[in-house]
Amino acid sequence: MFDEQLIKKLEDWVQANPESADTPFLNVSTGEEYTVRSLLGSLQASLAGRAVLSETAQAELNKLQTWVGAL
Amino acid sequence: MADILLIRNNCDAATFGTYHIGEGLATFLQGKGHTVVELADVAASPANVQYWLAAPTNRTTKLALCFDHGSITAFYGELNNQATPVITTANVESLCKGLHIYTFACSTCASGGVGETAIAKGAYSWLGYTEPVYVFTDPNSALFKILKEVIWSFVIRLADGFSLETAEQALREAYSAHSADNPLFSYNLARLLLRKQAAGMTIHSHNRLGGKSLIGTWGGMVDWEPFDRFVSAGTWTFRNDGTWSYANGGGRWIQIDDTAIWTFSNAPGLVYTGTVSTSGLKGVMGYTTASPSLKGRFTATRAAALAAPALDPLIGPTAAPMPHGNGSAADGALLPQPLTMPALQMV
Repeated sequence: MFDEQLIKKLEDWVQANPESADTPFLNVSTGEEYTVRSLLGSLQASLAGRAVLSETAQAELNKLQTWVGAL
Repeated sequence: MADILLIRNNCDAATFGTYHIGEGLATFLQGKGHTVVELADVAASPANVQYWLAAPTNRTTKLALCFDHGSITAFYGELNNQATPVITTANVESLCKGLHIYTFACSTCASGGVGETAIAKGAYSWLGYTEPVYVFTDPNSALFKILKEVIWSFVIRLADGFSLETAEQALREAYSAHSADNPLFSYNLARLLLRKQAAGMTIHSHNRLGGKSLIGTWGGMVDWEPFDRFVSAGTWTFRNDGTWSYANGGGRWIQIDDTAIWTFSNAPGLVYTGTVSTSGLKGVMGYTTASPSLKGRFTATRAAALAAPALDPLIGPTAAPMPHGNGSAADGALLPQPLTMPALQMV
């Protein structure tokens, strides 16, 4: 489950690493491209009730949650 | 014939990234003295991959570097600008037996997949990823350049003759060093897996040539007259360009079949000659000059890194008999090399 605490951690990281946050990376299997900032935006929209996360976006956010939790 | 085959197709957004990871790698490896064939973009076709990898012609002898799409059951090249399987669980024995394989591709090292099958069918090693990998898509970005250095770190160690374990450690450390820079580094690291036949292999010790190449790094033991006092001589590194080095010097070497010979630029007249086998290196050495007329014997095994000895046992004895009260030598007693010893005077 995603929560406000995850948003806060990601916002802090994006603020501290703006260039990396905007560098696109691609899942070679799905061909889908992301940035940390775009994933954060999707999460914020989802938690605000403005959008529904796709299955692949949820999977990517799960990985992002694990990563930012380990920093 | 090629020591190393590099495969990197470029047929979609994903392989645009993996393709550029390999940009310049062939030239770099050639600069280290390796013969490299590159199958880039449309040349990464099933027919070309088959031509360069298949047994029994074995046109690639040591290592295949594969930067493309992958799946559990296949590694991909391209045909008609479409990603196309080129190494599969069905043909992996013919294409990969006796080779080391590195795939920067999705899922080839998954359980039961093509990498695991390759090892079961005779490939020496397969480094890959157990799940989908990630790649940066802008080759000009700072992070892309870092990822390229990370991926190359494994290749460079292998090309320099280090063991698979040393190369894997370098790759893992390179990924780890950047884990806070972007999630991609920790994603890929968490999915990295090296499958291998045995510990301590290098691309020079285990390959389709029988593993009898002197090239690489060895941990040596030397035993100068009066014998029976083998001491560590540190590491000796033999390079593709015919040079070799150790902590205190080096020189040149040649090899024919399994017999190798090398000389010292810092010890004129000193010659080592030995027999190279998959299990190690063994031979004799000595000064061909009238004085000193020292001779000895040596053994060596493939090594990643050993602490360099303070003295120079390669050019003369570091052990001297320790006189007892009755004048006999003490077993195992090692004395620092006296400054008046002939071997040091030669330097």
